[in-house]
Amino acid sequence: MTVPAPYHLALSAVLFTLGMVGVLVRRSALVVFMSIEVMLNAVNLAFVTFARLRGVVDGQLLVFFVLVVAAVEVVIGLAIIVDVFRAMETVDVDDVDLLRG
Amino acid sequence: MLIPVLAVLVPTLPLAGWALNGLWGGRFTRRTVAIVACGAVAAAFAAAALLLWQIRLAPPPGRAPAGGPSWIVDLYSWIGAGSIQVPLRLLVDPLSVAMALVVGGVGLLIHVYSVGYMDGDPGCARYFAYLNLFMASMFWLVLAGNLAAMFIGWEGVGLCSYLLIAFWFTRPAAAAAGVKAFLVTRLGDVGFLLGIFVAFGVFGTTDFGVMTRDAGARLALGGGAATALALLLFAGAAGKSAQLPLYVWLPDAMEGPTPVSALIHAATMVTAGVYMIVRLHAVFLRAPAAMDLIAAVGAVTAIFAAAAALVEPDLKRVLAYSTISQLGYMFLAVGVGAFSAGIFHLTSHAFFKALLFLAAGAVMHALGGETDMRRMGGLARRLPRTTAAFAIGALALAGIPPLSGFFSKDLILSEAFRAQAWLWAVGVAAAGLTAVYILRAFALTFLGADLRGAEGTAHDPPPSMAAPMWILAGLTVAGGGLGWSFTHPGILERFLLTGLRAGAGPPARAGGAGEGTLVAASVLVAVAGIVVGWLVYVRRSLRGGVPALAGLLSHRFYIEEAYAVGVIGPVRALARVAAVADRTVTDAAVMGLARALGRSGQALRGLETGYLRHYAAFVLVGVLLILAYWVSR
Amino acid sequence: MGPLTWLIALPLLGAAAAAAVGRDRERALRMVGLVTSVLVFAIAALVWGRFAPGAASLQFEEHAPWVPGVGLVYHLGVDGLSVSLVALTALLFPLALGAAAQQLAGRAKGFVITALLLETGMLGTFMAQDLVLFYVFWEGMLIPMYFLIALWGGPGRAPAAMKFLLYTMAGSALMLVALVAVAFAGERIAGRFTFDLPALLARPLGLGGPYESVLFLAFTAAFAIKMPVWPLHTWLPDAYAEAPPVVTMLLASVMAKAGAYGLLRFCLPLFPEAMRAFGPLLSVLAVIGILYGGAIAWAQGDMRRLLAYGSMSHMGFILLGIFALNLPALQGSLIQMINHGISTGALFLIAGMLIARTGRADTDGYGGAGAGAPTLAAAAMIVALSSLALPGTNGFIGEFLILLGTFQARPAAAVLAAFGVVAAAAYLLAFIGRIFHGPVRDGLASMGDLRREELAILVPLIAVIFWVGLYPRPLLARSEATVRALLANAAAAQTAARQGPHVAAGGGTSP
Repeated sequence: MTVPAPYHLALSAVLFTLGMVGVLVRRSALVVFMSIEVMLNAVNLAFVTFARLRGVVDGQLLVFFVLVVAAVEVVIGLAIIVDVFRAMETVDVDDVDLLRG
Repeated sequence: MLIPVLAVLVPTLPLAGWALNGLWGGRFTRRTVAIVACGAVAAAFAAAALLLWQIRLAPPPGRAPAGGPSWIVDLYSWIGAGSIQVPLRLLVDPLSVAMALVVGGVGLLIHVYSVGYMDGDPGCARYFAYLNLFMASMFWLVLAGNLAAMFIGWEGVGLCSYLLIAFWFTRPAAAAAGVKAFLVTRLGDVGFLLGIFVAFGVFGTTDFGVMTRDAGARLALGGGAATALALLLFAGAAGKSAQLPLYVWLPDAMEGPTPVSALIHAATMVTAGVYMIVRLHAVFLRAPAAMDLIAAVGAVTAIFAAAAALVEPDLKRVLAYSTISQLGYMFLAVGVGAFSAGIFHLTSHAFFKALLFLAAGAVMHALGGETDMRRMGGLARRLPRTTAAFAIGALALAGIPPLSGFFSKDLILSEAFRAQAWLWAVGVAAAGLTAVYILRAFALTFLGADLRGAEGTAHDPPPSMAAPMWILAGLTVAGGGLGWSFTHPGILERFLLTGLRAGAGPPARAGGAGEGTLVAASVLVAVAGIVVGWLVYVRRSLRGGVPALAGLLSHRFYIEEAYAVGVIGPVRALARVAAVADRTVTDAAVMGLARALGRSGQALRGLETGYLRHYAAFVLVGVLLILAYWVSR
Repeated sequence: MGPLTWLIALPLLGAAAAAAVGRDRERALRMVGLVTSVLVFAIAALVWGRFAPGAASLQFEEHAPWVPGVGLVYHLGVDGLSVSLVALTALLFPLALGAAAQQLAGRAKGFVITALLLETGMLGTFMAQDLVLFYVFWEGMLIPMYFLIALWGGPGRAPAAMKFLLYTMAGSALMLVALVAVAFAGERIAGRFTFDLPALLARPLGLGGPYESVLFLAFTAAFAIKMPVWPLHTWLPDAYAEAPPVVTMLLASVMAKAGAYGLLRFCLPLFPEAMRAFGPLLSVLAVIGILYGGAIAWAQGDMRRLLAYGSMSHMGFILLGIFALNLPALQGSLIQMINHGISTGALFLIAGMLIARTGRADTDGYGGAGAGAPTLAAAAMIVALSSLALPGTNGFIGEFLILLGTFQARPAAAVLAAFGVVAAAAYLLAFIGRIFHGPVRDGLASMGDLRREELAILVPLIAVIFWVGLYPRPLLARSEATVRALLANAAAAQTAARQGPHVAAGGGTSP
């Protein structure tokens, strides 16, 4: 039994929205980070779905790129978070507002 | 051909004197400075005399413009831009040679006089350098062959006038008077400059020969172009020759050394306006309305300045007003078309007014620089020769026959009568006033009680100063012979007529009963003036006068006050306001723009909260907007 | 490498050499600056001397590909518009460096390097024939000038330098956009994308209409700010007064000319129709500038501000002549650019000499200085006379031709501007009078007359004053053919534009 494509896409959209809301409302930098991962994987799901739907491998190929970029991002992002924590002793994104104009 | 060489030498010799004394005068001895300066002018005068001899001898060349013998000496092309070509050109003709002789002769005498007068002044070399530069400029002015080239000399003499008035520059009054002279004459020179432009528009050139030749063809009689050109040039002449309403600088110019007053502000520079009008008489004759105005301005200036001289307490300033008044006569003459009469009076005035100034200078020399007549008196006994010289000049100025002033003034008055009777009446009235004021000056200075008592050691001037005075006195006595005889035009007039076109000069005079009556009338008025002056200022038997009128006169009808209130004050205020407004309005507008940009930046600062989620939300909104755009398209 | 490239390269090499010298070896540094600028002047004089008058086209051209992909060429050349300006610039730099040695103590290294970089920028501006190359030099002279004001200026130097920088940058930004637009327009006509000015002018751009007006205004904004034209002048009094007099001399003598030169080099050939259409407006601004600047100069108590506003008044004459659009007026404007450079430069140098002696710039502190320093007074007098356009000095030639040409084109403007000549006399004689005349102030009697080195700086300028005043032919002859061709092309382009855009765009019928 195959689940029809719209269901995959709906799941992707739900995951993306969840991740987005997480980025917008959560205060912990780590949770924000996880939410971003959720968004990325939602996009991955959409890529795979469309690739299967249209019978091409472009989308699946792109997923690997996204995975690699996400991995790199995790490394750099976590490093930044650790650095921020060292400097400011917090990972609350609301306490880090150095860009305030 | 000797003429081009001589014509070039006349202005360049004094120029060389200027360069020598100006650059190395500080290292020369006093004697060397004097020899260089006087030698340069003497050589120039000799060259001018040779020029006279040459043009009487040489046949007129073919390229002479219509109307008389003239020689053109082209030096080089000065300014050129397309059709605008201004060559540096000298024009040698009877008029320019006659002027060069007057300038050179009087100039030489005054140079010699200056050697004695300026003896002991530390700025002697500078003085003679300026004086030589003046001679060069004035020679250039009278010899120039086109208006633009003449403008070099025209402004050059103005510069020297400024430099020499402000010669004792540490005296604030002298410095201010120099600036005033320069600025007022420059105001008139704006007219001269615009006149040059109009001439370029009409004739395509400012060459005197071409303008004279083409005036009839290019300028409609009484037309707008002719009138504009004549009036613009007259504005320049009125500034330089101190006519109403631009006369205000000349009385103040008396702050300069007295020989300067004699040379520049009596005999030569101030007559440049008259000379220029005579030089361009062909143009001026095409504008009768302008000519009427010139005559009227001349007549009114003559009587106005004579009246102002009546109450002036300063001896030199009396002579300055007298000069303004006599220049008025000259403009009256040229305004009624009596060009050679104007030049005749210019010449005789140069003699007797220079004489009067030199005598006044001798008085100042004797009294240690005093010019206020209220502190003089009784000098006749101490300075008998100076007194005699001044008396000769005064009688000539008053128009007593047979001195030169009588002949030239009478000639002008009879020409004026022929033109318009009211001009004659004003002229005669001014002549009466002239007699009164010069008698007053003579009486206050030389007659009456000796106010200085025994303290004075005043004595007649040394020979180097006396000799020029006596030569000028001789010229004053004999000068009448240049221009007047009973039946036919005089020597000067005939000489000039070869240069002034037929019809430009006055026709041979009618003579007869009318003429005699006019002469008698003017002599009578002059004598009456002297008698009145004698009664008032010497016998003091006729007293009174109207205080209000005296007040009006001593303020010169409040013309200078009107300038101060009506022109200088507003301009100064405007400049101050503009200077402040430049900061508070123009600059403030720019700075305001800068501040507005800064403020808009401040306003946008609020968007940068520094909260990560806000940035993320912005990104989201942006993505949604782009999506919405794509979907809706 | 041709002589023009050497003119640009030598100051750069000199700057590099100066950078290699230790900062405490002031004499050596000043020698490097002086020798370099004298060499540059020698080359410029050679170019000026060998320049063939009578030819309208570019001479001493140098052509090399720069960035071919986007149509940039390294194209240098001088014609009648620029050859004398190049010579003037090269003449003024040795004098400025010499005067700086006397007036600016310390920090010689930075000054020499910056001044030589400035010289490259200025000379390049007058020689570049590629729009972008011109822009590079144009901005290239801005930066050194900013530092010269900001580092060597008076107490208010920082805001003055910033104002100057932002003001001129605003104009330059507009010009940058416009010159790219011009290149696109040229591609439409000629089918080739290039910034090379002669290539762009090979056939009429035929812009016309509001587009031409907008581009014209963008270019003119940059040039008008540089000149400056009223009411875009308010950076001038601050910059001129705060910069050291030596720098002000370069600012007034050369940089202001770059603005006027730009109008002739770019606006007139590229936008002839707009030049004609905006002529009345800019003439009005010029007359306002002449009278306004003259009046304000008269009311100033600081001699540098007096001369600054006077300089602005004189630049008004140049602007007036440019927009009269006829031969005498343009010739007058060109020669007046040289004259203004000489006379105003000399006036600022003299102001610098006075300030170096007494340490004060307000004229009230002076009086009777002529008694203690007669030679300085005489030099100041001659320069002032040249600036107030006395016949026989250089100033007269320029203003005479400008007013004469303007009188033919716009009589009313010429009449009003002629009163600016009186205003010039008023403020310059006030300058002379307040400083050199009047009772001798305490301490001024022993002020000290011109020293030999100072005389050596002023004498060349005074020589030029009399040379140009009495025999201006060499200058006028060098520019006449170019100006004539420029006017003829502008007139032809106008006729073409009036016959309709098709004719202009097609261009096929033209011989």
